[in-house]
Amino acid sequence: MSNIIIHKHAHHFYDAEQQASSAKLGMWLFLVTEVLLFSGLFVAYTVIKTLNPEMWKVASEQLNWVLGSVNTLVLITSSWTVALAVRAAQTNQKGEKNKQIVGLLVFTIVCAFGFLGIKYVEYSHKIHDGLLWGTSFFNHPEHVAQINGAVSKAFGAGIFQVPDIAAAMKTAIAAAQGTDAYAAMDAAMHEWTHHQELVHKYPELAHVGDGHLFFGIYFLITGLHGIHVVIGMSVLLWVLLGAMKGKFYKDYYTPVELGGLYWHLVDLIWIYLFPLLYLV
Amino acid sequence: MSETQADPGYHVSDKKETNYIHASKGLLSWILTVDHKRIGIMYLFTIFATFALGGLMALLVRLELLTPGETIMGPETYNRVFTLHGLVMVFLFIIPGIPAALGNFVLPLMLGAKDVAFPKLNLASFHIYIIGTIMALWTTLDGGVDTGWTFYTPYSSTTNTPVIMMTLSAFVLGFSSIFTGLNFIVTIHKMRAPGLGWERLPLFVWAMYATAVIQVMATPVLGITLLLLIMERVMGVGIFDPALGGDPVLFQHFFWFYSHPAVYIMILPGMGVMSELITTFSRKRIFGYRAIAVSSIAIAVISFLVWGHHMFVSGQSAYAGMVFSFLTFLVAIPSAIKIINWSTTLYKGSISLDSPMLWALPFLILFTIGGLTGIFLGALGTDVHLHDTYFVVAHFHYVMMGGTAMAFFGGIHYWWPKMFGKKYNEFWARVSAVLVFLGFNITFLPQFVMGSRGMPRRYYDYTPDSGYQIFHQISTVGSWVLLLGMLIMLVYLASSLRSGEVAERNPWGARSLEWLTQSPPIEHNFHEIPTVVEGPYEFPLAGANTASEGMDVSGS
Repeated sequence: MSNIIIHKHAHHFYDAEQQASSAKLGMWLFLVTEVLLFSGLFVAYTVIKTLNPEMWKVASEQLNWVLGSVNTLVLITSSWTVALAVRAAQTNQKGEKNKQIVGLLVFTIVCAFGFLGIKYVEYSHKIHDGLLWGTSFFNHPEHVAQINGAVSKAFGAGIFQVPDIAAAMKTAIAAAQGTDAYAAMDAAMHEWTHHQELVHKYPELAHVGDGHLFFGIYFLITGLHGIHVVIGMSVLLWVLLGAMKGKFYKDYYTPVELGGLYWHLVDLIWIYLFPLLYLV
Repeated sequence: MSETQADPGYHVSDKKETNYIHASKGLLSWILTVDHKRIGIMYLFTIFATFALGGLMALLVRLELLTPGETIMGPETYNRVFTLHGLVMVFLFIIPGIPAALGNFVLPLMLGAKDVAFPKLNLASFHIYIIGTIMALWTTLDGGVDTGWTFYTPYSSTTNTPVIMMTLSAFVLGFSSIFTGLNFIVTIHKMRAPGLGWERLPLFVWAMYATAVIQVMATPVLGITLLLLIMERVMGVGIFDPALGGDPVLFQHFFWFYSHPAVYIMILPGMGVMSELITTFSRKRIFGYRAIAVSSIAIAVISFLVWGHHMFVSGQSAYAGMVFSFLTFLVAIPSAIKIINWSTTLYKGSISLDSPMLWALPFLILFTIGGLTGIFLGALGTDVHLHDTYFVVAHFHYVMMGGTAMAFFGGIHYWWPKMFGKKYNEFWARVSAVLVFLGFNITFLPQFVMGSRGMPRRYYDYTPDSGYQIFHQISTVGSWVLLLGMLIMLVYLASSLRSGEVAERNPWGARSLEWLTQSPPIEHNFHEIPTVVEGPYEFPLAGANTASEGMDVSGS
């Protein structure tokens, strides 16, 4: 049964109650600003989706809705545990619930790590397959032009007239073994082959064009959200440190409550973006 | 509600105790202060400096336009100079302006509070503002941005100037604005003295509240807009650049969704100051308190609905244009209500032409001109002719400078004795006010004419036979008169700090709570928190010897 640290309110407030309710109003106002920050992205989503409906449908089908759903469950669970932590602090009379608060906060942060882990898996798959924004998109005309340019330079432009380009490349490379031209040919062939594989893997996406617009929005929204997950984790970590010292009890649990509020917002933003990106 | 009292019960001590300026010594005690008054003063001095920088840019622009062809700089430099003028004036001077420099100081005092709700957040606001300012000025070392302060794409996403650093600085400055707004909203809700209900608040407080609401809600949209622009430049994500698959008009929608409400962040505090000046210097209760209070909120709300009036010729649909035009006409109504109410307050008031009033009275005329010319621009047909001409430039300078800046200077003069315990030289203050008024009109009145005759804005040059030169010349001379007026102000204000006459507690005979504190106030503002029993504009009848008492309150 660890002790609690009795909290004194700041001098410019009359009492602790005024301080606590001021802090809560302040946090709610801050959450409003966060919502408005994301609103711009949701508007961009709406505009680009409306202007490119076919591309959007094909591109969004590449997202793994199973992983997305797992992430949703993970975040909702973490919202639940942080709410339990707030409740524990609210009813913490003399420190008997300190361990509970700590445990719940730790579990919340672990969930957040889980979320980031799954996002890492998703992101790395996309990066590998060139499902990216702008000219990094595997089938962006400039990207394709750059690959073809490298092939032309290494093998001569005539290579594209040949019926079996891959075979011709292999032959040319075998012949160039040990020469200066080998490295450039090898690199160009790898790029070109990889691109062909991707086109084969994503035929509809390659066909419909402008897929980079979808992935631009995808990475912007989930990226900004991911940054906020990290911010939320940092806030909760700071609260956790305070909880370990026994700072939070029924007469002072403001940081836990405000941290919880922020975490709920992070969860809420995901709950909006998940169906909009993954399910629609 | 206007009873005078023989003995207020609240002991207003005229004995001078250690004030907030001398409460602690050393640079660090200022840099790390959480005292809202010190933070306000630091903002005030910084904002004077940024105003001077923006003003210098303006003088350079006007100098270049004195003659056709190159006068003092080439076209590339000209683009950078007018861009810097806009960016510095908007983001470093006028948006922080009154809320940061005057609001920070005065608001808690007006509420009978010891400080704002979040003093440390207040300090953070200030330091973030400084960091943003340094970042913005850094771009000048890199050649400067040449996109205009509006950053329209695709030029801004492709030009080879330090756009990223400048937009990052605006992003950072946005946080300062948001935190200040957040702080004020909570302070006004939670920190009012006993008896100080919403309908007893000085109208300056209502204005700060409405401003803060806009700051909190609009600024994040600018944040995401700038972030997306940076992403487009750095990572090539196509949102706004057609070459990357984006839509440049989308940028304009995003940008103006913040920047239109932003102009109300600029004017509302000025209107708040006006309510204080008009009442104090006509010694009369405001006419239509509730109308002015509610109109502030109405402006804040409607301001979010009119952004498209910056885009009538952008290619947006005519239908959208009609809706935005109608709403723009609507947003003029609350502003007009204020002008009418202030004017009516003057009627049969006991008017004194002390220097603060010499800033307030011109506001009535100049803001009206600015507002009415805004109506010309809000009408679709005329806007097609006037868009991107000097008519627009003149319009917004009339409201921003003839309006906000005048009110800002009026407020500085009004609260100067309270902030520093010193009086400035009244004669030179009047000279300065007159010079600025004259200089301002000489500078900007010709711009309406030349704009309606077709002189485009942001243009480096005009031909000798265009007929514009005479207007440009008059305008440039006006800028020199303005400069003179401002220099005089700088001199007598600085001089007052060193050797000014000591100011009393309530030199203007005003009735709001800040005048109950000593001049300058003690660190914790009030010895005892007063309990308020009446409104803020209850001036006693002539003959009653309570001129310097200030608001009647009961002891706590």
